[in-house]
Amino acid sequence: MFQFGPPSPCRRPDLTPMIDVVFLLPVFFMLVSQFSRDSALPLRAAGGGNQAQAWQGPERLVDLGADGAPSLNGQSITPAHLVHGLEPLIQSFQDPIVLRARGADVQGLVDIVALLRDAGFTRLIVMR
Amino acid sequence: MDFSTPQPPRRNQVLLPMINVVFLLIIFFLLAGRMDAGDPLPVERPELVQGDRPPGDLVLAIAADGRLGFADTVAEHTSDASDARVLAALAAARAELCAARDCDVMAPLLTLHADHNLDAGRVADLLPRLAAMGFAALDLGTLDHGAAR
Repeated sequence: MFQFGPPSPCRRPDLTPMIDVVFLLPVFFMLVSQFSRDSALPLRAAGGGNQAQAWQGPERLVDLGADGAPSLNGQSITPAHLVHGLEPLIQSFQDPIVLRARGADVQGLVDIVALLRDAGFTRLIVMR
Repeated sequence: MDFSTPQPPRRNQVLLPMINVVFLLIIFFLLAGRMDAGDPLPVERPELVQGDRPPGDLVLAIAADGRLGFADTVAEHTSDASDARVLAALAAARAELCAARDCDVMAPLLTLHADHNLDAGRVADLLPRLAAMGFAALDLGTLDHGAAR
């Protein structure tokens, strides 16, 4: 007869490698996850769209200065008053408004475009 | 009364709550986070509290120093030649997209991922060139940091 020795107690699997991997997974997801939401702001190029339509009404030129401070037709104006300043110059909210970058950064442009869009202006033309 | 020394808990019983929490963390990040391919250039997009729409079919990245990047094509400098090379790659991608669908019916939408510190004049300069390529109306990509899904 063979002697197989005393039977060893039932060993449980070692959990350490699994815990290592499971800890790596949250670290991975923490590093690669993005929680901010993608959004976008429609822009229109000067020269794009329907060019057959001639300019109607008075000049509506918004310059964006270096610190993002706007000026309307050459007159410095605060962003809060920009919409009120534009309203006498338009007949409808579809009238084009020219935005000219004069040293402003993209964040400044986005702020003014969002402000004007929220006020209802739909045709914003960005040019140099 | 039983004053005998309590038995130490078994190792697995100590680890189980920790493993539960770690699995919950994984599920949280899987559900709450979002993973997508990043921009070819380091771009910090401008912040906008309320955006309008999701990104379009094609994404052109502009770094803070003005370099362009589209998919695998990244400009080394801000020169006309580098711009032309990236824009040619963009035009090729547009042509490929238009071969698959009718662009007269549904024009491909371009999203500009411009760094928030970039001179807005650089974007304004690019717009007519992009309009000439068929992107008359395009989107300026922003991020809504306040929106937790």
